[in-house]
Amino acid sequence: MTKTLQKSASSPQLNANVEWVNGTAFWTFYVTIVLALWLCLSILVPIGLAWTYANLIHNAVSFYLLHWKKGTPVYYDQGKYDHLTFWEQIDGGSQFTSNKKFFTIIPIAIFIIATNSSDFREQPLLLNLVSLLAVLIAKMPQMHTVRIFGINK
Amino acid sequence: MASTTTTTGTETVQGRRHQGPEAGVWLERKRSLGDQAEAKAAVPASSLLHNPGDAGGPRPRLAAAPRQPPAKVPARRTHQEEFAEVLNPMRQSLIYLGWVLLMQIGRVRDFLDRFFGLHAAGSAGKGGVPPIVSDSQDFYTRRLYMRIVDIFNRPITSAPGAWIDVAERRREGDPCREHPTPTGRTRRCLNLGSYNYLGFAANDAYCTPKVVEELRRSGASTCSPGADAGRTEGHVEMEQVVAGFLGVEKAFVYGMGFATNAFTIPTLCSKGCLVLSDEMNHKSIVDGVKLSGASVKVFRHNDVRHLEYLLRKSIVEGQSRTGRQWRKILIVVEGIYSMEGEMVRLSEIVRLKKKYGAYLYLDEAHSIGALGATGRGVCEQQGVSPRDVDVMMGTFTKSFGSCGGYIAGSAALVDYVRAASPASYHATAMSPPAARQIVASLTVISGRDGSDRGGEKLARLRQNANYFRAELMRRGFHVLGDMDSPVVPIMCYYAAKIPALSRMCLERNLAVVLVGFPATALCLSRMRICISASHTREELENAVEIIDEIGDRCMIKYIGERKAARLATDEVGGNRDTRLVSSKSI
Repeated sequence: MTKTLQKSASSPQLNANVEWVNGTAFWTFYVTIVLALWLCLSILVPIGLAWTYANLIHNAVSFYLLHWKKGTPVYYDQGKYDHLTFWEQIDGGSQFTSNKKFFTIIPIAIFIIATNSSDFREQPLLLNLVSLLAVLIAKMPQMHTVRIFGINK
Repeated sequence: MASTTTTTGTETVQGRRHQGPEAGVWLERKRSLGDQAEAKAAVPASSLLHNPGDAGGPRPRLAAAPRQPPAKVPARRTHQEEFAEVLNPMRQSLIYLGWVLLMQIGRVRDFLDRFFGLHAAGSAGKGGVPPIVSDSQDFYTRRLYMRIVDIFNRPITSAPGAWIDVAERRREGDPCREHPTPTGRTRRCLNLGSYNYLGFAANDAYCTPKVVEELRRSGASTCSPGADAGRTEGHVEMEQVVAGFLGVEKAFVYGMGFATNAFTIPTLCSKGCLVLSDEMNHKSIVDGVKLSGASVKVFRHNDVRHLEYLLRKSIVEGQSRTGRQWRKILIVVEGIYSMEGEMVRLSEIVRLKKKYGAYLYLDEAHSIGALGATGRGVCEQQGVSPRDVDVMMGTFTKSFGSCGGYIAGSAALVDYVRAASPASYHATAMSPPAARQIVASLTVISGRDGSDRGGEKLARLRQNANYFRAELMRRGFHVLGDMDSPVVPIMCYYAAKIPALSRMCLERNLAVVLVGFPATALCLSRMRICISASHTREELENAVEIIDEIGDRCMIKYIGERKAARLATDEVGGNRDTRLVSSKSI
């Protein structure tokens, strides 16, 4: 099995905005970024709440980048993907791909670690849960191109 | 004709770092290495049993059937495999991090600009008109492209021969929106960026007087489309000469190379047709296919098995909603892919198209006049008959020093295209001096002018290209492309190295073209060098030294020199265990 730059022998990705997500090192890079975020936070905030902060910041940033920002920075797409968020552009819009599963598992994993490290106290648990639900609902296949109340149409 | 990625002989590399092999000797060595490999591989397996101590050959396989044809030299690795080896996870992560930082810094600057009101946001419309583009639409242009815009769009002030005058510029005004302005000074640089494969871009002793004479006789423009009043004797002669050169029945010429693809494909295909297009096809093909309304399926670059899979699947399933048969299936490939420098697998694709009854459209923009013993393109290079290619397309901008493109093939095809293409009715016919340049350059290339300048040019181009590619590979650069291809891409991968390399090269009077995202993939930026027959060996040697120094400073020697030498022996010896990557480069 020959090594290639894409994770598997997938069909050609024509959307230049998202084809780099299929690179072999992208998952490693993403996990490293999350860990780096936690490291920085553990210097600044009480250690028990570091993962909670990491969870909230990660969910806020990833929600904005994956589910709010639409379109591509590539000018010659001629607006083909202007109505699609990054999440909807990944893998050509197909659901249940390994990339999408990875993106779904990461917030769940961070949530579990955060609630464990804050000893399941009510306030952090509630905040973590709400931000997790926001991010998870946005990733559901039923929400593909759904804009609630026309927000961000 | 085995095409291996590295072809330096082992004897030349060890211990003699700065002496590149002479091209003629080197070519002989390449052939002899290839012959050795074939000789070794052709030895029947049974005789290997009698020489168990024979080291260096393929491992003896006891069960090998002697009836099998002799194994070819091991198939060359695809670029994707090479990228995967060079780009380990740490390098990929650093490249991603670089792009993330650039985007975030751009966002922060946009926010600060808006907060402090320093620069007018967007192209603010005057008098209640909405802006042409919103801030987010041209974010990439303003905050990434314009940061390094001094390496793009450099104005030139001379003909693009082997040497070129590049205008110096300085930045003033809004850095996000204003292009640099020329200062009036120019810099004479070695031209490694122009498509000047045979050296016809500059003054030519045979062609230029004829062009000037034609300009005086027929004027600068025909002022009419071909079907109306724009078709002169010069055009008729040009099309006959082109058809004769390519070995086909007829040819039809457009005034613009991009438009040749963009308007011929819609003429040939429409709704209900299927176009199978290579992943790395040029934008003109992509636009032509979009314009035609045909269905399109993209196959992985040069991957003949994927193409066959798509062919079989499409024929079996038919059109998408109705399941009806496709009206026709057109496979579109290029001769040389300009960003990869590699050639198409033409004989295999021709075999496929005959097997499944598809048509083949070959875009020889970069390969016509540059490949093949007599310059007849990739068909000659790979031993494929031009009759097997249904639609031959090419441009005159690269090897012939003119403008425009052609569609060539059978008389029925060309007559139909002439009758149905919008260029005949709506596009002004080619300028007569440009047509004359085409005839003159083809006369020189085919030797009909009575001299052997054409053959010399072709040989010099091939030698220059092979020398340059082999020398850079020997020094440890990751160079793409096949042997004999005049396009030499050197990988630099990182976004920040793009402007660094370009600016350093310009300081040393080398004019090179760097490309990055979105023209290439995010992680795969490169320096694309175009070799010309008008470059002398000395100029190329100097260029190699300069690129060597700059490459050391920018750390783009991803393949270490010892590993490059070992790779050469690997291809022959069959040892696949070596790792490709040098630890010297970040």
